[in-house]
Formats: sequence, structure tokens, C-alpha cells
Amino acid sequence: MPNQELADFAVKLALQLGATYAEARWEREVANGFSLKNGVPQLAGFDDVEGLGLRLFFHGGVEYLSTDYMDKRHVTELVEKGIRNANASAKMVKEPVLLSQEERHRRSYEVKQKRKIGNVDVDEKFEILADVEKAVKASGVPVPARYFSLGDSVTERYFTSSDGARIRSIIPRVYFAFIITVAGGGETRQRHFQLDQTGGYERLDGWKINEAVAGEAKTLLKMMQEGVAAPEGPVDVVCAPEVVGIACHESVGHPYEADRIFGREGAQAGESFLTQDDIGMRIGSEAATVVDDPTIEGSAGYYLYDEEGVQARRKMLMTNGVVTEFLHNRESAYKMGLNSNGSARAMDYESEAIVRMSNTFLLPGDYKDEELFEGIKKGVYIKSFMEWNIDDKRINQKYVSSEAYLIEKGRITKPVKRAVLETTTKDFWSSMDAVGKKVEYFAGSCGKGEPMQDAPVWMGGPAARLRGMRLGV
Amino acid sequence: MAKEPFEEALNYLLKGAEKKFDDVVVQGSRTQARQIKFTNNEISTGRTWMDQSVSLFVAKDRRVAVTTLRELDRKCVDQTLEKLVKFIRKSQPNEEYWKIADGPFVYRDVQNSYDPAIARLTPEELVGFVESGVNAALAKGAARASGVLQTSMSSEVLKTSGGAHAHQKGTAVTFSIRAFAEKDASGHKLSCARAMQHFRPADAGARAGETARQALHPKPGKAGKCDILFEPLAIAGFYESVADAASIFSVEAGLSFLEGRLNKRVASDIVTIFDDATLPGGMASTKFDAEGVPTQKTTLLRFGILRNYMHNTSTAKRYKVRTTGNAGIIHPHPWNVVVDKGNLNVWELLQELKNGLYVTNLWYTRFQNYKTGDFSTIPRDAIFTVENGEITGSLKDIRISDNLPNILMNIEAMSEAREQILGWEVETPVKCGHTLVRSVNITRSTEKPEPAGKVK
Repeated sequence: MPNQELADFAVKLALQLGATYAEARWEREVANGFSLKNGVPQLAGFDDVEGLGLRLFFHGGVEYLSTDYMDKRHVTELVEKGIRNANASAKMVKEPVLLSQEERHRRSYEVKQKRKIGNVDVDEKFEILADVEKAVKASGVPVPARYFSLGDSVTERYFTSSDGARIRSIIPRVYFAFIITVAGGGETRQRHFQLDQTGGYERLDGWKINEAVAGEAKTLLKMMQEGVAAPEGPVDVVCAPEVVGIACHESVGHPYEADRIFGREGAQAGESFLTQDDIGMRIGSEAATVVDDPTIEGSAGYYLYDEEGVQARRKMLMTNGVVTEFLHNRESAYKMGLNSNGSARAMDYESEAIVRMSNTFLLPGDYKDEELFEGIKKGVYIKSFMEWNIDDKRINQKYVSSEAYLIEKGRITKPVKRAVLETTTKDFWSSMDAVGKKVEYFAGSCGKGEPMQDAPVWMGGPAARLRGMRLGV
Repeated sequence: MAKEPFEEALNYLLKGAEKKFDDVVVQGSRTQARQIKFTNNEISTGRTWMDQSVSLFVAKDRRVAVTTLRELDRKCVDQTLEKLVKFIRKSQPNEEYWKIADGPFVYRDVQNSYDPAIARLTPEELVGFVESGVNAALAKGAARASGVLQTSMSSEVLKTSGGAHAHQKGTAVTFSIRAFAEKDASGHKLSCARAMQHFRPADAGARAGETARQALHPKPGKAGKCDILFEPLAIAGFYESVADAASIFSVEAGLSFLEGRLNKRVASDIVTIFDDATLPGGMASTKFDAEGVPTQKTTLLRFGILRNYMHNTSTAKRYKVRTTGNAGIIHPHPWNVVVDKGNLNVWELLQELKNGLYVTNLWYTRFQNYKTGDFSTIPRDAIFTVENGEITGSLKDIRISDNLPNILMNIEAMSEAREQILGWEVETPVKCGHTLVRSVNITRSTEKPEPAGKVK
């Protein structure tokens, strides 16, 4: 049960000591983790962690406090420290931090599990990893190094704010990640990949991890052994959902985070090529509409209310190539004269909630996948990437293919050993002229903030075609 | 919360666990930390942490498990131990695990790792440091500055079934400031210390502001091979990657370009790198590792030759070497990465460079393949052009797309002066100087003509 009393006490105390606003987030997370290195079980463990995070506004400034001492004495000490610290900081607060006015909700929600995490025993979890190892061995591909990890967690949260919000949530999650190194012909190639969904162990049924990892090993070997050089000169490129997804995350989601736009990540994750006046600016073609949506059931980035108690909804970041919406929390929304769109997330009770993505993806278009290839005399189909890179303002991006193929006269032909797409954000999105129908999602762990916070996210979209791209070396 | 003194609670936990498991490590820590985040010359948030946690490692018949306890009352401890017994009974054995180290041990204090003056800093003094850093940046020509100031005080106790018993206190203060003269002209500097006498926030602010001003009006850079002089903040990430690759865990997991390279050349002969947990004032300096083994200074690379991987007791047994005091009971890891100093000053290095680039920061390093060391990274903040040993202008919009073994082999010179780097991009502290690297591969985005303008 949530320690509601302690959270409510913390908020009340903060107000009594002069805070103009306060909110508290109690959290308990029960988690398990298992790993296998080259077929040998490594470390297994479990955690049951409870803590309280408290944000208070005082003299125009903001203090975030956290503790795992779950008693009133320590919470009182913490709040008193916070007030003293806020008092001292006031001299360097010129513009008071103000929050947008939002509808305040009192809700509880829980993500259901068909196959409960608590009912899957330790030995079965090890068997899951052992089965992946067997599948890779059975593939016949030389994979000299293999690292698999499996984890699950159930996070219970209670959020309360001095302006009347009360949100309870229980969110279970399962995740699997692997790193494999395939060897062939004196070369090696690596693939990192992760799967992450909210829900219980029923999610693994859809993942089919044995086939997935063994299949990746075969693909890596094929690329090394049969891959030809990528063509030179401007070519048409079809990006599969995995590549579209990373581009959505890195070059739309991130630069549209309003706190970055205001410089709040300036010394950490960086700023943005966008300014607050760029709503309405054309970045891409009519084919490109990118959204962020926390309400996708079963997604890694799932939530119904953000960590400020604002109801979650889909955000239309780029609509038909035009910047239409940023990701906001209450602070950034206030600065732009808007309402928050519920984008505040925190990794755990120790972390302040900041503007984050959830599930960021390209909306589907009208093309069947095979139609994307029609008419391409010579091009490249990039199905997955082994490296991605982007600058901190999110202008210059680079993707190096893991699996790629030549497109010749409208058909997928030979594997391409290494296709490098090194382009600008405007060129990527404005070169897009056709988008497929079927959306696929890929999991990631997004890092931001200081100390670094990891947020589980999805990214994705359908396949999409880019015209006239010059591939790098 | 514990109803009895902390160490007594840990003793109860250790004794209870020893009855049920072959090997036990109990490590308790109490931390208080404070952070001030500032954005565009103003304080944007303050943060305070107050935590107590105990990590418990156990092994039974080579089945290993870990958990964390926050509540230390006896009922909670007993319940956790029962849960661990059931958990480990269903686990699989780790055949690579041997045991934890046999103590007891004698520990040497690490110099300059605890300064009561840090613990006594008042909120007003902390704000004063931020103000001094920001004002110094503005005085040197920056228009705005953002960053963080952070202090921490911690105490740790470690007890093991192998007879190790150790405790230590630590303090740290760090200041990271990124100054902007304009959106594309910035400089980022740090000051990290375990004791106040080494803490220089105003100096960091001034250097950041000066760098930002000098970087004004950057022009787009060109692709191709280029000689580069890297500042410590820029090159530190590479050295961190070298140390990560020197963990035997990374080698076995396929995550190391140093696999199979022991006693072979992996860098130019001026490169000597240590892992040193005993470094006075080292940001990660510690008396003991996760098994209670006293830490040490270990040579990783000597004159460019790989001399040691990092080990714990179990991996050392498998490889028939001695532990290097780098547990991680499963994953040995570096503490402080220390690069041996060179013999030039920055002006001399610029003369050695003659023509090329002077890069002040790198950001977002991502590897294609850890075994080969192929990566890309972004020069962030000021990138200066150097002609005939003089800084002549600044650049933007380039990427370094290269290979870490190549970078190491092409290191030609280093500065005598070194800095300690710890920050957002460099999570293991690195002490290093300016480093001159020849023939670095630069790439940039291929661009099309400007697309359609604003649509309102």
C-alpha cells in the first residue's frame, strides 16, 4: 500500500513552512534481474525499494528533495533543509518559476498482467535466458560473445499536490536485452537490442526472443559475408521502422522538448535547433507526421497521468512536416502561455520530473511496403542500425546500417555491408515522400538530466522512403 | 529505519546471512547530497538527497545473488534473508564464481578524500560558488551560462564473511559550467575536488566564458583527415573507454578492443594509463573494493603496451593472476583513470600541432562495435582552427568518425599539466592532460539545397 500519509504530511509541512506549492511522489519498486554471459549465469538479484520525492516552490525558486527514510522525523528534516536552501537560492532567481493551471485529477490506474511477474519463478527466468543461448548455439553461426539480460519490475506510485491532484498507479514491466558478437572471415559485427513492455510475462509470447536473437546472428553473418559496398551518388533510401523510429526519437522528440528549448539541459543533454517561436516552421515534407503518445497500451513509455498529475494524451509534434507542438511540463507550458501536455516523467523517487518522451513515432501513410520500392532504379533499404549519432542541437544525424540491402529496379537484391546515412534533420524529413502503412515499435532507454535519468521509451513508425540521399563513408 | 545503531544492524545482517550462505558481503552507505542547477544565469532548481542503503551479496554453492535493504529492523532483515534463501535455491550456479577474498585486511586511508569543510558548507556559500562561476563567465564575454554545482558527503561500512571489515568517509564537490557567447559559440569547463582547497568554480567559469567568446562566428567545418589537439574534457571519454575495455568482464563479453592484446602494443609509446583507486583527491578513490580487498594502483597501459586487465578474486583465480582490487564481484571496473603526464605545455603542443584543430569537448560517443573500437562522436562547444601553431578561427557542424585503437596509436604528445574530469559524458573520473592526436577522421552531414522556408 502506498505511504499516502507520509506523502500528504510532506506536502502539508512544506506549505506550513511557507512553500507556495508542493507535491510529493511516494514510490515503491519491486524488481528482479538476471543475466547470462557466454552461457554462464552471472548475477541475479531482487530489490524492493521505497522512497519519497518532494518538490516545493518557495520564493519563486524550486527545490526537489528525496529520501528513503520513511518516517516523519527525517522528512521534516528534509523539508526544513529544502526551505533553507530555497531561501539561499532566491538571490539567483530573477524570474519566479510558475506553473500552468491544470485540471486536477483524483484517479487510480493499474496495468493488468495476464501472466503475473510474481508467479514466474526464478528458475523459469533463468530457463528463458538458457533457451536463448541454446537457440543461438543451434543457429550454427559463430557467436563468440553473448550477453543476455532479463528483468522485471512493478512500480507503485502515489502522487499528491497542494493544488488537489491525487494519482495512484501500478505499472509492471518486463524487459530483455542482448549484445551479440558474430565472427566471420576475420571480421566481427555486433548487435545490441532491447525489448521492453509494460505488462507481465505474457509479453514474451509476442517477442519470440529465441528466434529473434538467432535470426539476428544469421543476419549479421550474412551482411559480413555477402555484403557489397553501398552505392555512391544520390540514391533513394527506404528506411525500415527501426531506422525511422530512431530518427523520430533523436531528431523530433528530443529537440521538441520544451525544457531543452529554454536551455534547461544546456550543460547536459544540450539545447535545440528550435526556438519557442518556431511553431509553424516547416521542417519536413507533407508525408511526415510524428507524434508522442504515452497512452499506447503495453508500450514501454506507457502512463495515463504524468508526474505532475496532468492527464496524458497524444502530442502532434510535427504535422505534415510542420512543427506543431512541443513536449511540455507545467513550467514550460506556463512560459509559452499554454497548458501542459503531460510530458513530465521521472526515473524514480530520487529524480525530479523533467520533460521526457514516451512513445515517439511516425504516423502511417498510404503505401504498402512493396510500393515504397517501386520505381527505385538504384537505392538502399536500411533495415536496422548498428550505430547512431547526433549532435546536441539535433541538427546533424548519422546512422550506420546493421542490415541493409540494395534496391535495384524496384526490388530488394544484394546485402549491403555498410550503408552510412549522415544527413541533417531538415534533409531527412524533407526528403521523405512516401510512408508505409504498418507501424512497428522498438524499445530504448533514453538518457537525460543530471544526474542522468533513464526513461523507458518506444520509438518507431512504418517504413518510409527518402529521395536523393547521398550516403557517407 | 533502523531502531539500532547502523553498524549493529549491519552486524546482525552479516551474522544472519553467514548462517545461511557460503559467502556474504554487506556494504552499508549513508549519503547526503546537494545540487544546484542553473540555467541562463539563474538558479533553476535545487536538489537535496538523503539516503541510507545496504547492499547484500550472497553466494551458496556458487549460486550468487544481490539485493538492497533500506529498512534495517530485525524483522525486515530476517524476511529479506528468507527471501534470498528461496531465491538462490532456484538460481543457477555461476561456474565462473570462485569465492570472495579472505581477509582480514589492513587499509590505508586515501589522502584528501574527506574534507569536513565540504560537510559544513552553508546553502549561502553554495549559491555563492554558483554566482562566482556565472559572473566569471559573463566577465569573460559569455552572454549566459548553465550548469550544476553538486556536493556530497558519504560514509560507508563493508563487512564480509571472509573477515574483511572496512569503513570510510568521503566528500566531493563538483562544478560544471557551460557558457554561451551565442547559440553556436560555447565553452564548457569543470572543477572537481574531494577537498575545498582544490575547488575552483570561478576559474572554471572564467575559462568557459573565455572559450565561448573565442568561439564566436564559427564556420562549417570540412570532412577529411585532420590532426587534433584535444583538451582534457574532450579526450577524457576516450581514456575512460580504454579503462572500461580493460575490465576482464568487458573482454569476455565481447565489449573490448583489448581482447587478446595483453603485452601487445595498443597505443603509441607515450601512452601510460593507470587505474588508481588510491589517487589523493581522486573523485572515485576508495580504500576497498566490493569484496573488501584493499585497492591499489594498477598499470593498464605502459608506454603503449597493455600490461594488465582489471580483476576481482574470482576472475583472478581463473586467469591465474592476483586480484587488482577492482571488484565488482561479477564485473570488475575502474576507479580513477590516470593518464601519465606528458612534457609539453599547451603553447608547445600547438606548435607541435602546427595545422589542424583544437577541440575543447566531445559529446555523444557511440560505438558501432566495441571489439573493433569503431565509433562516432560530436565535437561540442568551441572547435578552433590552428594554422602555424596559432588559433585562427572557429568551426562547427563536424563529427569525428574513427576507431579507438587508431586514435591511441596516433597519440603523439601530451601536456604536463593534467585535470581531473568527471561529468555527464565521463562517468568514471579521468585525470589527463591535453592530447595531440594525428590523422583523425572527420565527417559531416551531406546537405541538400535549403528546403522551403517558414509556413505560418
